Amino acid sequence: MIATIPDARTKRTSRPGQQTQSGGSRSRRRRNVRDAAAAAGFLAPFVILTLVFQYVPLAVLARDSVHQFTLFNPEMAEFVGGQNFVRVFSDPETVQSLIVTGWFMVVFLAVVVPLGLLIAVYLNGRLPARGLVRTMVFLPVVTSSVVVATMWTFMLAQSGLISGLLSSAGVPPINFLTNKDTALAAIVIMCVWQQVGLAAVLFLGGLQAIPADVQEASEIDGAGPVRRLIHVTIPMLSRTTVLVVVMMTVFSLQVFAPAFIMTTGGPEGSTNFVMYHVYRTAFFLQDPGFASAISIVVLVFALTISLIQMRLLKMKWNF
Amino acid sequence: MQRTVKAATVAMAASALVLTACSGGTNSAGDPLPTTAECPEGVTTLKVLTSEFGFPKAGQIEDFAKVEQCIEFAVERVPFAQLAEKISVAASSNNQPDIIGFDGPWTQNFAAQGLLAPLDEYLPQGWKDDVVPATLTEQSYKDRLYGMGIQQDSLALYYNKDMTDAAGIKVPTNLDEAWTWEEARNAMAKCQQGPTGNPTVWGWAPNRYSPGNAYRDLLFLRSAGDPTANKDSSAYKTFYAISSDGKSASGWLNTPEAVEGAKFFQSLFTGPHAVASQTAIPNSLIDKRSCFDIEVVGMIDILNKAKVDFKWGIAPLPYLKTPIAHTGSITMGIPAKSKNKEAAGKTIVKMSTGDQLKLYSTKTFAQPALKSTAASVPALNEFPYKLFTDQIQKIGVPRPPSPHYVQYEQYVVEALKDIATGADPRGALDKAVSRIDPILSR
Repeated sequence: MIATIPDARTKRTSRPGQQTQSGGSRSRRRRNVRDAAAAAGFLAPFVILTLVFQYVPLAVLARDSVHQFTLFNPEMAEFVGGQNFVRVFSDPETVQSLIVTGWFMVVFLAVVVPLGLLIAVYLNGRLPARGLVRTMVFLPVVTSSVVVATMWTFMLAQSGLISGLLSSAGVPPINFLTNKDTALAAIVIMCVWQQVGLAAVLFLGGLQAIPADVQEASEIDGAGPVRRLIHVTIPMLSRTTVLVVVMMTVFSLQVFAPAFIMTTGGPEGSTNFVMYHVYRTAFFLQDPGFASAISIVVLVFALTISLIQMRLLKMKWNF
Repeated sequence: MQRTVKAATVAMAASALVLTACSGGTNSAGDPLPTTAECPEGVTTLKVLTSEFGFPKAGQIEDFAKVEQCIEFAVERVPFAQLAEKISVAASSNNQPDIIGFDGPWTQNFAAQGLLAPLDEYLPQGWKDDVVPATLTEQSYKDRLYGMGIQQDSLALYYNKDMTDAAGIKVPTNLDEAWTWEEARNAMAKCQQGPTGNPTVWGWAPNRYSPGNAYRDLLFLRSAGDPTANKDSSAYKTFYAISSDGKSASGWLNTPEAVEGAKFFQSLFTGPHAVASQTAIPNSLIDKRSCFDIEVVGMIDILNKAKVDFKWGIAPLPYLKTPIAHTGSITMGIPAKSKNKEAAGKTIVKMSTGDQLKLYSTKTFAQPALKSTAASVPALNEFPYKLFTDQIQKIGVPRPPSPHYVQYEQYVVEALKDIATGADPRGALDKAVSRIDPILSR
């Protein structure tokens, strides 16, 4: 691709009268080949790494998804065709896991996107301690998911900090992580706390890219802060919104650490997120073929959702 | 030119001689072994994959090196929680370890998949008569032995004696006087301080595993059964929790007796008479946040090292109908694709028997898998270690043996966890059975 872009210097040397037509095109070809070789040299490591660590595993995943075997003895894999894919939609645990993940995704997006935007609007204003607040909001994003999950496990435990606070306020303690009605909600809150900083920083970048004269014009036209936010800021942030929504969707489909560390998928499967279910199916239940089929279904689902979101939130104008 | 060819020939011949002289022996794959003055047959380096505190332990390797200079170890230790995955992944590679340390109940899983090589040909005479029966059952598959056990463990009821004394509770300390769970729950309730559901001191707060741990909590179900009952009765089946051929859990794990056991188990954690924490509280006993805890023999060492400022004691495991304790511990085996099978086999045997086993048991007070060794270590025949020795030898049973134990355990753990947090016991056990049976029948 790079090699086909005409080079300004090549154009100069091939002007009629300065060099013959054939000599010029030969020189241009040589230069193009050199450029292509250089580009290939620079790109090769990344292309190779991407192939080896992204596409080869995907191919292996696809192959495994039509086989049944155990990790202890992969040589004895048996070809089962699409049977694993049929199981994805007929196995009650897997269906429950997909529903739980879907619910998590919807609630998480419904909270994290608007909250991220509000925090970004706050951070975009001229308010005291803005830098400190920005750091505080972003800090959980760069903290390891394992550390966050472990910390919240202690906080939400039966005898944890939050129960202690509640009981000191006269409220009976709640076993957040061992109650099937509260476990998923508790994990949504934890994930919002962890990811809202990223959403806010992305929105902040989008806000700072909106031309000031548009905001000024709407202000002169008499629009108040709320109307400006709804009719000017949000529409002009749609490109950033696409990015935030897609990133948060992918995050919600990949949630693993909370289920692994905090709840082991329980109680009664209420936090059995699909990535944890894949891990559990492959390693604990020794059914990596089925786990691969679930992974492929999730991959297709993630791609479809992302495409739909990008289509729905498509920017209708540029600035 | 001729001189050059001659010189090259001489050099090659000399190199060949040197190489031959250096390689006194070969491993199972035919690769030559490096030699030293002490080991003219070659020094074998055994690659070991095990858990953080798994076999062979650092102290065992040091003791072994004093009597065997021709074996060296390259040990990779991983957290126990990741051990099964790591072994699974290593199993599919061509560069397999020579020894793996793993949890005893996994033996049949690994053996059925062809992952392990049998140890029978390396066994010393009389070993099978001397070993604790639970070890032999657990580590055999289709009449062949795949692990030797080294040690056996069981759980006991630890308690804060200052607290139980203050509450006027007399705790039994020998197996014949073991509490029923009903009595234990009453004692826990009496000792608990603060409001139910949010006490300042729990009756029982597990310090490591939240409710659901199969080693500890499956006992509530099995203990509701009776091994002396008619073999077709549900009481008999409840005690074993899996069919004798290891192919069915239906009618074994979800019997009326097992459901009753599950209901009792649930009552410890939920409802108006709850005496136990639904989540683990690290160091609950040491930090005086719990009157009782259920732990393995290693807790004695932990309490001693913590230098706690209270008196503590150990009681036998309570039971519902039949006294029972799960045995089991980590063990060692040889991967079928090891390149040093013979050296690995002989090493495992040496560490698991004779002087090396006695040395290990004397230093650590771990219950050896051999009865003769247990009898020869005085401390193991005195309180508190005798309690564990008695439990292992008198009421010890392995976890339900099956070539699909790993999967069986996963569903049992999930069912017990759900039951502890309020799920319908019958529904949870039926659900577990409906998931387990298709796997067992594969």
